[in-house]
Amino acid sequence: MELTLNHLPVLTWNHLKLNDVKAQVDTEGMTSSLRDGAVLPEGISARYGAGAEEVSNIYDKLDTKTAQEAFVAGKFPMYNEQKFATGMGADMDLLLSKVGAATDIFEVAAGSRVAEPIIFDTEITAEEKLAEAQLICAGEGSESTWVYAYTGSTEGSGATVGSSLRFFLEKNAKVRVVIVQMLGGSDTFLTDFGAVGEADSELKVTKLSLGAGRVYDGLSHLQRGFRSEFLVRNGYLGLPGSYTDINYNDIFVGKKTKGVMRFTGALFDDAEKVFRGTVDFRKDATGANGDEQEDVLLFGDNVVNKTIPLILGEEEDVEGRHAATIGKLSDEMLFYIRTRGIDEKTAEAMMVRAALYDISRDIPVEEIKKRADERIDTLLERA
Amino acid sequence: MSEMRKDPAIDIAEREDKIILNDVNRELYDFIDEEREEDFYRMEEGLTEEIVRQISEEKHDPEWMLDFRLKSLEIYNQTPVPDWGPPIDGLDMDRISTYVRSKSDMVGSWDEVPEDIKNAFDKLGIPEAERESLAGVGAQYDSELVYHNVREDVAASGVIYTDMESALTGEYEEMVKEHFMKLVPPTDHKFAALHGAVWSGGSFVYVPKGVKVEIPLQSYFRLNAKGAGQFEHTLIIVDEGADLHFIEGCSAPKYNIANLHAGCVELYVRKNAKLRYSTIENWSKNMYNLNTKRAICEEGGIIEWVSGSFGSHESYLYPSSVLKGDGSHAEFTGVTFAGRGQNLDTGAKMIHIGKNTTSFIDTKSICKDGGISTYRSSVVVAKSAEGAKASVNCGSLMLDSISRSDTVPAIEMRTDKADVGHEAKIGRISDEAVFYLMSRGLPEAEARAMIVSGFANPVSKELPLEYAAEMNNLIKLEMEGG
Amino acid sequence: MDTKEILLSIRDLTASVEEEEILHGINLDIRPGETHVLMGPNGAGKSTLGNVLMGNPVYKQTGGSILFEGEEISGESTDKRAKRGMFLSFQNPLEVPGLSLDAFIRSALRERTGKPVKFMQFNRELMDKMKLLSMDPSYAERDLNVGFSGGEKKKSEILQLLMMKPKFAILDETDSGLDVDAVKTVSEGIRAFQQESDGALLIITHNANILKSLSVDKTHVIVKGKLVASGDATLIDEIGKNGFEAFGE
Repeated sequence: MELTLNHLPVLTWNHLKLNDVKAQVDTEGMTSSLRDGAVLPEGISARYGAGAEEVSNIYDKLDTKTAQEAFVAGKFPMYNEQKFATGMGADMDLLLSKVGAATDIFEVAAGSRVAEPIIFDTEITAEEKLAEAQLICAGEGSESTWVYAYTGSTEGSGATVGSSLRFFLEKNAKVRVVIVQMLGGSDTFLTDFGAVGEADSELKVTKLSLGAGRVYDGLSHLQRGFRSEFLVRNGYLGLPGSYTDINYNDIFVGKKTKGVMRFTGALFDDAEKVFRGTVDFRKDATGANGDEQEDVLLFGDNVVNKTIPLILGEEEDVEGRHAATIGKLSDEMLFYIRTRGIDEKTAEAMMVRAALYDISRDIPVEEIKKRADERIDTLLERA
Repeated sequence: MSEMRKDPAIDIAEREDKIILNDVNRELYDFIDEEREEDFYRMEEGLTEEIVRQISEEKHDPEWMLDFRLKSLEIYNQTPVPDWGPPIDGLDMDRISTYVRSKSDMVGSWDEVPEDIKNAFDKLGIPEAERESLAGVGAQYDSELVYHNVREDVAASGVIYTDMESALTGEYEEMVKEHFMKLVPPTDHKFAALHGAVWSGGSFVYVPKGVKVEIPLQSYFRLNAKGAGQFEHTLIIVDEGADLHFIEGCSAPKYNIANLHAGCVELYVRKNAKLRYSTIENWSKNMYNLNTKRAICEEGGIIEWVSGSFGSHESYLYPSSVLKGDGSHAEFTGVTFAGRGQNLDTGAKMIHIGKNTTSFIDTKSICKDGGISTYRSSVVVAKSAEGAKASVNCGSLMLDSISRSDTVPAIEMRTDKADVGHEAKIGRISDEAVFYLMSRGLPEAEARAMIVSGFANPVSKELPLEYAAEMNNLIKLEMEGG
Repeated sequence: MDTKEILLSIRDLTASVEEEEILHGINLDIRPGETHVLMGPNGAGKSTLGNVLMGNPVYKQTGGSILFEGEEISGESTDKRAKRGMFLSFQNPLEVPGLSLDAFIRSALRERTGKPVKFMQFNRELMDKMKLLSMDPSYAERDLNVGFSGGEKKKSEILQLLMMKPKFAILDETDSGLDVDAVKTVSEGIRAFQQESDGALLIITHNANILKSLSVDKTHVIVKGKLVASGDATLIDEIGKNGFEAFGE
């Protein structure tokens, strides 16, 4: 089926082809991977395989709807049609319902601080088609860490993996999410994310894209509560022939909310990448602070890199910033490294590795971290 | 080497000393001259083939131009309105008169300009400015130029500065034909097609090889007729090694029905030539300003845009620079101030094609009293543009929480042998800065106005002094919340 | 004079930054093992000289020649100059998250020698040098300069100097912004370099403190892009007493 994903919240010139992306996904034989039977640490309970209606009722109860909140004064906004918005949008939910993927619901009990990470380590073998959906409700004052790893061969096996994660953070909840994709060149990875953060909640998301030939990566976070905090660290390697499509929205509604999004990557040969990143300040989000930074290094005559960083503002008392460096290392940095006898090419490869290693440190599971670092080395050597 | 950073407040204060702020008088722009029916020829409202033919006839177009108009009309009818940007439902083409002109002909002496039109321009200080600091002046009133003059010494150097109609029907016809809507084809977008069909007025400038025009040329556009459109065409060719500064000013009185401005500016910058194009736009707040401006630079050519957008109800304005020649360079410096009832969508486009091309965008958006300002841009670096460097810097200042400010900058790169940097910021006037100025004895309102002027300083410092003063006037006017 | 004896020979060097000429004809010879001090007021062109010698693309060499071991290096890339045995210690070293200090030095050594670095031997030496510089051993594994204090950054530069053993090193304001103790430690590190190797030094400073415990062969004064005086170490004291005014500042 054809999906229209990763909508830009405010449209721009159509000829730039940035307003959304069309993705062909072969759903034939796609299965839902239930996590039934996972051993869960104390403080975490699960309800596996919830149906669409049940999930919808939970969304109602959580009051996650974001649609009509924006005063857009005659713009042409892409209102998110979802009850619980994600970065990729409604078509991703459509895909899940089409293949009959039910939602696994996890709950972190209020006040429980779960030190041990909950790990979903999935190995992808030949031509697998997998779709999964999770809703995680982090109770008031709870702490939890969620790790998702998808591993296949570097060549890939023509697999398609679709993952839809939604996190609801109650007051004071702290959630860390780490998603590591180590699929191969012939694989497709759809990674969708939605979150709502209540007062004083803290969400940290780390994502590493290491290998899949087609990556659709979306995230939307509604920072609804007072003083809620958000940190994204996203690293990707755009290998030869690959296509990466990213859409992240940080929506500031609560007062004194803070969000920082960092994207670091490299594109090789004829890799193509589209990055949409939006810092969206809604009315009355006084004292909000949103910061977004994108650094891309390009290696190859045929790379295509598109970047559209949006700052939307309907509140005066905010601070928003976006910065991007695209192309090469800064002259200053390059000079410094070169004074130590390292040539430009080596210096750049060194910087890409350093940036990705820096992100892989967020992986709290030693074995998976090692796997990711080895994958980084393998891919960089090959590229 | 690091540049000394001045305290912004001090910097503003120093500039304020240089630019004496006159008391702002709103009537400066909003006066209406009742057009007596017998003095003016007005095309009936709406847009049909018949009307386009009538305009063409009225203007004594050559045959090819009539064909061009009709073809454009066809494209216009087939092209949908943009689905992005401010809504233009309020614009009903059936209620816009595309052609209005005074029944008197264009003159080369100010004294011969009809009294009522002269009064209008006198109030705007146009002839005065010419005497003081301009190499040539054109003044368009509604659809046609009413006055055109160029200084003798400038004319003697071979510079051609005339109205489009004279150029089209005179000795420069071939030059016009070769360039007219080649850079902005009618297929570009709906309002480019509209322009192609009903354009009227505007200026033609040719600066011969190696000629450096020391003082600026200026065109002033005034749309006085109610419910009318202005569709002037500006075509400038700066030949190899030549240098020109062209200034464009626009204003209109406010009516309670929509007016439309869909002008088109085409700038050809030849090898090693330089053109600076400055605009202070202050259309009235019932104006739909759907304007298209584009420049193309050959090898080593330089285009500099300086743009202040203050007026209009709605604007779509993104001057674009096609850097075709190796080593060519473009700069865009712009400020947009959206006040009550305004939805201004402005920005710039840079297209890098030649090797080692460079571009800089530096813009400031300000919104207040429910105004909406959107900064929209695209920087495209083609595969051929090895060694290109581009930087985008856009700042937004929100003065209250009923307004809206969006930043929508796109960057597309198709080579790894180029460098693009981008930085955007949104924020408010810092309380500390206000406090700092107030501690030196300034009342709060003045302190705030001063800070806003300072924010827009990168643009005003690029303008000739009298225009910088006008811009500061406009800011002050907006700050008083008129 | 046999030019082979001269390690670095600068002749009529002119250089500019953003079209403005900063150096107006510098002449300087440095022999192996010598320590030269370059002093001068702010904006005189001290750092410019260091950057031009090292080939920083921001600075443009507009004339003259730079011979290193008898070979012209003008126009050569920075990393090639480094591979010849030149080194520049930065005033403000850059931060690289994700790249550890020890991995960085190892890579640099590998690039310079073209051979793999012996792990045990490298580690032992690194720890020795860090001890000499009173650096906590944990810094070896920390990201290059990330979160380092001003003093730690300077020590990290001297550590790289000691590990890489260049034939010629430019120390650009290595003492700026350091407290008394840190100046002492850094100065000890530089002394160790002087003693352990035959490497030559060009120390750029406007503060005599760092020079107290170092042996200095020659002192040069730069004012407005020109060397206006050269002498032995006693010149340092003279400047300490009278400032740069006597030199036409």
